[in-house]
Amino acid sequence: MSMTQPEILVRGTCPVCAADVVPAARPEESELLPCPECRTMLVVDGTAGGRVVLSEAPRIEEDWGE
Amino acid sequence: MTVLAVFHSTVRLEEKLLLEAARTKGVEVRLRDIREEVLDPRSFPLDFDVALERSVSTVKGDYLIAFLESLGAPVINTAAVARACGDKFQTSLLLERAGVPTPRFALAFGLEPARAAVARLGGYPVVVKPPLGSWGRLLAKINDDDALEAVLEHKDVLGTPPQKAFYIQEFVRKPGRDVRAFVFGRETRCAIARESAHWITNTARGGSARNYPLTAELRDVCARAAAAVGEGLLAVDLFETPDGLTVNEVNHTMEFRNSEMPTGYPIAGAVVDYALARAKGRA
Repeated sequence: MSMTQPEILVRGTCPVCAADVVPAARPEESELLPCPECRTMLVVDGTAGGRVVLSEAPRIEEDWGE
Repeated sequence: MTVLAVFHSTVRLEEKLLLEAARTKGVEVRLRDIREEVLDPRSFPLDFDVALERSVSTVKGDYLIAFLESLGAPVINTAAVARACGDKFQTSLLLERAGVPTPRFALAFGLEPARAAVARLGGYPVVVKPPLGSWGRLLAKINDDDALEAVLEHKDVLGTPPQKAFYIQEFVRKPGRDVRAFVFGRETRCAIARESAHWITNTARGGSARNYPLTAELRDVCARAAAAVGEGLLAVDLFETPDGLTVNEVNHTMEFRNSEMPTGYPIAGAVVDYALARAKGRA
């Protein structure tokens, strides 16, 4: 019997195309990820009701970068 | 235990690597989204020992740094370094004054002065860059006078005020690649060559990275460039020329996702160590 904890898969819904989105194992708030279906860039807003809350990521602005 | 605050906006892979490195080292990390902060000097909670500014927005990051410094909190990078590196014209001026090899450059605010600048820089081609900007965005290689007129008119008509300061740099013919060095204080820890068939070799634009050896010349030029802008955690971009290395730009919020693997150097861990040393007054 394995002693490791089963990986908890947290999912969210793409706000653009309603696709089921499965982020990496431990999503950070404000992390970016693309929707696998419509390719919209999404951002992790947090979790609610056991699901990841996703919204459209902000567009690149003039002062973004290194 | 030392508490490290990471002030961020959008969390990039770099921020995740930093978090992972800090957690591996047993460092307590406070993630603070600067878009949710109230920068009120009388109520701001200084519940950390050292701060890393990791905002993807330069403007927001600069304000945060200035704010934290005003409260006496150690922050990386410093306001002086952010000012020096956030604006390409400022960076170039500091490199020039310190005698660090750097391509010729000039700033102009109109077409005729821009034409005169091109002549003084040795003629076409030249590169026109936004003084504030990154990731190779809105760079224009200008091959002739017609193109200069068109690009500058577009900036004048469509651009934001910073776009109307025309930073013009001589075009450096590089061997299909440039060099990025990661400099901690004055010490170069690792470097990559960024290769691309396109004249813009930025990895954010698809350039590929491979390890670049830490030569004596690279260490020396980078140490002098770091000293010129005030020292900190810096990514120094250089061109190889027949006359030796020349410093193109210096970045103060380094991105390194494509650099740990080819160099084999744990950049995220080294950043955390540097921050911890700063907290103890040793960096």
